[in-house]
Amino acid sequence: MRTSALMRTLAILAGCAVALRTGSAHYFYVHFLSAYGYGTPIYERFDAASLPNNTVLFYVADSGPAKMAQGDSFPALISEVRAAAQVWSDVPSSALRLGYGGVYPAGSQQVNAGIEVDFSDDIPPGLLALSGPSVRTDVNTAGNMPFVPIVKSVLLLPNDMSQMPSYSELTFTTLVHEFGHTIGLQHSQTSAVMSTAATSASTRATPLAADDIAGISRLYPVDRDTQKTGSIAGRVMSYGGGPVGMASVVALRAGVQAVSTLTNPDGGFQLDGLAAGDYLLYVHPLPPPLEGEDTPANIVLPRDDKNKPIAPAITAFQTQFFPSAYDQSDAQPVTVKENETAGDVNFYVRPVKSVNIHSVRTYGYSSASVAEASPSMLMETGNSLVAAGAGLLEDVNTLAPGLQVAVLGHTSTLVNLRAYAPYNYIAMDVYTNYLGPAHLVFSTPGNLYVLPSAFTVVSEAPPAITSISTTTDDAGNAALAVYGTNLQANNTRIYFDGAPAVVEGVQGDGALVVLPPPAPGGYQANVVALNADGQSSLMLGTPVVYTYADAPAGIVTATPAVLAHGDNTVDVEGVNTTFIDGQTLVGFGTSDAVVNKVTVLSPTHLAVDITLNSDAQVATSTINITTGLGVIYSNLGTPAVASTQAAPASTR
Amino acid sequence: MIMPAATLRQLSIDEMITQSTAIVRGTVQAAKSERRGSVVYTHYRVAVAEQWKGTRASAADFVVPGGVAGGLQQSFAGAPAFAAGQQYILFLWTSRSGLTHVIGLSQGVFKVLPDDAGGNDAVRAELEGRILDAAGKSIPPAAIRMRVRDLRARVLSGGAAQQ
Repeated sequence: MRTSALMRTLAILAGCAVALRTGSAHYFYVHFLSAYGYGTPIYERFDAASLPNNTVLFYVADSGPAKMAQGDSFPALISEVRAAAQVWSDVPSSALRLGYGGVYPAGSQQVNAGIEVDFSDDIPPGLLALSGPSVRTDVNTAGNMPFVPIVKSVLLLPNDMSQMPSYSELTFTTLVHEFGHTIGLQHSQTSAVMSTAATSASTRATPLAADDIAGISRLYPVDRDTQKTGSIAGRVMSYGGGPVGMASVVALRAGVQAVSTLTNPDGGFQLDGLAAGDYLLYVHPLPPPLEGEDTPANIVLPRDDKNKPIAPAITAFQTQFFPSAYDQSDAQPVTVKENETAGDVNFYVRPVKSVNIHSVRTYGYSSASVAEASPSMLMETGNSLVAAGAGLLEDVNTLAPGLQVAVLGHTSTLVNLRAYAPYNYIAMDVYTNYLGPAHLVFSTPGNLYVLPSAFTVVSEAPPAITSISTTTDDAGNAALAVYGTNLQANNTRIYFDGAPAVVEGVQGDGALVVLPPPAPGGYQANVVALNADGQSSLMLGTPVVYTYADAPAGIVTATPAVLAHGDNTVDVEGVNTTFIDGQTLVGFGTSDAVVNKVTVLSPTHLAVDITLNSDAQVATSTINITTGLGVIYSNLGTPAVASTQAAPASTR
Repeated sequence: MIMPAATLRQLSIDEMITQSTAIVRGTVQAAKSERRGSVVYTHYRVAVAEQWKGTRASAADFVVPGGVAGGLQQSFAGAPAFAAGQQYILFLWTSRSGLTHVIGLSQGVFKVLPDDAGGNDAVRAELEGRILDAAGKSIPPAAIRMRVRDLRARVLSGGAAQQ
């Protein structure tokens, strides 16, 4: 049991002279041991340093979903899963990398740490996905920061994905969010992908917010000197003198995304990952717990030596800016310098009986007249914005007395603030003269609420794809011409079922010239365009489908048929394959087989160096070969054919 | 998304009535955790006072993801926790695997609280998390408070309990 193991660990740690780095709880899964006090959080995270190349492998259950949307396919879903994991793997200030380990036999047991993506009949109606880490009960004392190692994480998707097309914004941001949980992130309140609120400003084009990046970077830190960021540290205390734990401290400024953290039980906090510059800081309570829940904001509470949750003593207080300001005009900026910590940024908050304004969400309307949370809004055009949340209305026809709404740090005009009967919304018209995220400040006498990235101001409408045709590029290579609007060579990325195309430029008629990712002949890919301002062609409708030209199916044979414990070299011979150096991935569907090197000897010949864990079950050895959107899955020694619509080829 | 360690799609009362396999009013009792495949589930038993939908029984078992079993602690933020001795109205759903869940994590959980007229209200606060409609678009969450007798009548009109 966790309790007894933690007590044992406590006894061990008490005798160790370990230099601990203080920190803040951020929004991780956290433990506090009495040996270290309530100012030293111990996080649950993967032991990245012990993983080959700091890489935790994720695997997709070979069963796949039982049902998928029309035109969707298992290879397409695998590609989107890979792309979602890659979002976290690409964070340069994080030491953790996520690697695709292939499809695995559903239900098989693995020894090493990893992430399993499975498909479950046990996702009840009203739930799209579910994920979380598993930990043993011992604490790793290596290095200067003990942590609780995640031994395995699961990400469950429904067996029936007929309502969740793999290419959709919803599925992708869901996958990114769930992968965040699997690596140790909880929820934040700052409109990031890990936000619990519908106002999460994340999109498929820009899934991670500054807060997400700061979170994973704190959990899996690289050398701070290389990060070129600074920190802010301080404490949150109540006027009564006690520390305020699990208070959310947020740093932001106009046009820049917010970064937040939660205070430790001793009230201390440290905000890391801040680019140099001036920030406004505010502290706010978490939204109150909901019926059926016993924690604020759905956050798993930190645990103590006895594995008991540490609930904050004060959960309701007045939100304030630093220093002790209840109006944004009285807030004073805190200056952050590279590789330095601005300290003693302390708050003294006033406890209240209840939090009157909270859980505010904003909505706008796309050109398709569909409500979008945290909407993108065109500059200077007088956009209508609605907001819903506690404390904004007295009744359906009347605003809360004294309600004011302002854009933090900007002179944009909000006019015609009104109740939006018969709905429980308030509405306003917004005029802007700037680009980027806009933070809204809601206030009534004695109450303050800040919503980071309430909307994003953009200069043009979302990209749209109208058609795709074959062409040749300047070098005479076969390529595709992608036609549409707001497509720009230096600003638009094109994806085929989650796999990126190479955007080469613009041809004379305005079409983007792209090299599509490799795929089997006849493969049908959903093509989307993503722009740097966060908008995508999916915001205007369903994607254009591109069908690859017919081609003979690739066939591979991998030998030997049985892997030995220890080092192995697997030889892969292909027919009609297009193995590409750097794009062809090989996995064995288990964290117990570590791929050390993939050598592309020719488009039809691979050599794979792997090490099989000494405790692994040799009989489960299978091989996955993925090139672009092509997936080949087979038992070793058994020829297998590339799949276009349903993988694994060998079982369907 | 939402996403409690999960992403929610908001269900209307009528959708919950239709999609539930059992709807009960009762008092939650003891809990224990067990591992099933890759997932640890906490099993709850509820002493049934009223069965509004599903096969009548004196007790019903359901699971919530997360818990401690076999030396592993698994955490799913957003999974509801239940207080022993507290009365709830639960919209339950039994999967093809045979496990019974609360619909939509917290969506299928209503606390029973006294109202001003000496009766009882079924109360559910607004849902935390990314709430999406059937088309996958974000929509505002909404708190629900209604008389227990009204909720009972609505359920029974859509799926009467078997005798």
